[in-house]
Amino acid sequence: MAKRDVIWDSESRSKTSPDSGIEKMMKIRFKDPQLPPEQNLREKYININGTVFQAITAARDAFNIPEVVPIALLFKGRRMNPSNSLSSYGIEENAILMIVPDQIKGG
Amino acid sequence: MDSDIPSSRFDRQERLSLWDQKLIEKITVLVVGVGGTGSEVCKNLSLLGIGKLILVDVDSIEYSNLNRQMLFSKEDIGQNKAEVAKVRILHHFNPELEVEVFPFYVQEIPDKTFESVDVIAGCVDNYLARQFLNSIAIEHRIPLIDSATDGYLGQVQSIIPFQTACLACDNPPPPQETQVLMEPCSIVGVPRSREHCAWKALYEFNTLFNRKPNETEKDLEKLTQLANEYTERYNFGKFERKELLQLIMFHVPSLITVNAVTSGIQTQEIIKTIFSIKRRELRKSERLALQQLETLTRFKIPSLSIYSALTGTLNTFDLVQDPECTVCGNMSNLTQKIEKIKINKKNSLKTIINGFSEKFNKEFIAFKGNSVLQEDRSLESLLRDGDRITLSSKEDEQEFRVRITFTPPRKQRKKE
Ligand SMILES: [Zn+2]
Repeated sequence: MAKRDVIWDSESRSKTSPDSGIEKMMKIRFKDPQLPPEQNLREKYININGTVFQAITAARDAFNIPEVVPIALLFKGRRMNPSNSLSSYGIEENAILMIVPDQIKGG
Repeated sequence: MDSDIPSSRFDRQERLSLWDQKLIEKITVLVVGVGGTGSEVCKNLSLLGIGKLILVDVDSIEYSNLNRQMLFSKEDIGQNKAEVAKVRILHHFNPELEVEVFPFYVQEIPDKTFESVDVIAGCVDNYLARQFLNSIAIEHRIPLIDSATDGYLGQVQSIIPFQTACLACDNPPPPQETQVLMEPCSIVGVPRSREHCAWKALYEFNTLFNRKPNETEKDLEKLTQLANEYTERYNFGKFERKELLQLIMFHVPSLITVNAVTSGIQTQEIIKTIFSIKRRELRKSERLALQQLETLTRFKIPSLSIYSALTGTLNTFDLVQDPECTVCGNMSNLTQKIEKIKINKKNSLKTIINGFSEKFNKEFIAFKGNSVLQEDRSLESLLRDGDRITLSSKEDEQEFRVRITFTPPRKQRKKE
């Protein structure tokens, strides 16, 4: 999925896509707890009907995290699966999604 | 003897509030994986005075382990990690410790072993072993404290079965190299990126030789050749062997500092888990007193701790169970009643499968953990006495959990 699935700023919030008509956007907040408290929260607008994968892309953009660094998002104690929809986790406007490193597997 | 001199080697830790040395000395911990974090966990637990360690590792000691696996030295190269670890632990750290060793894959440990285990320390280096261990922990209701490292990052997840999230909750996608081997369909067609060429090469290697590539000149040569056939055909940059090795082999970068911090956190969570096991045996008044002390000391077992050596941060998170989890959720078959079968170990697995097929009029397939068992093999070559297997219908969702007990061999009658 490409970045165009996510709309970044308020001006383009009325952008339409061919299959879903007008995309409804919501503001969510990403938190990267590895950063100091005054820098670790950033906002993004994302498609209300989007997937977790789209949210991950938005999180990368918000914090400039390159694609080679695997990350996951936590919401209310759930590690969200990228292929699920955001709504399946009950994510609403202003939700805080926590960014954590993913795929740590060595022993 | 001067009465001011401490009489116990554990004197300094026994001074701590909440500490219970006698309890620690009664506990058995199963350590699966005696590598970077595993050897540190073994050192920590034996110095803390744990009662018994059961060590599991199929791997042999390699030269590249010696930067961090302090139980091993050059003369041990080629020997089994678990076996050498036992010798070193008894010699250097705690000669009174009871140590049992299984130089096998975790999937091959007899199920009976788990009955005596209080806590599992997961120190494995790959997704499939970790998921297997998770299902074992849930099935036997044993707390699993699992660790993993990757370069500057380390994490510890504490799984209290049916209370906190397990490692299968929310169906975490496997890492790419595991995906390639598990679901080759994900890499069919035209490679969409340079990495894709590498995954296709890995899959092709696996198909050609029916095994994963080893860290040898010959295998790497072949793998690079296969990958570069794709990069050339689809106009991506050529792979150097070193890059390919890092991208698709199972070895992640490892640092002793990160291993030490991670295994330190892991060991500490194991000890705290042991203390919380204790609560079950307490009388009500004692339990209340302990609860008060825990509140006062802010005692807590976080589900997930992540350490970054680059930022120097340690963050903890609470993870909750996924109700749909196939291992610990509502759909799990691990809460199902276990059928018991007594059978001669010389029989093939097919005897059992056929029995179920006839009874339910459908075809079944047998699993132990997440690996499929070959039905034409003898039971004794696949299982140990008391092992549990799952029989899963090929046609629908029906599943049975079965415990196999071997009948003693028949004695020949002397008189007729
Ligand atoms: Zn689960």
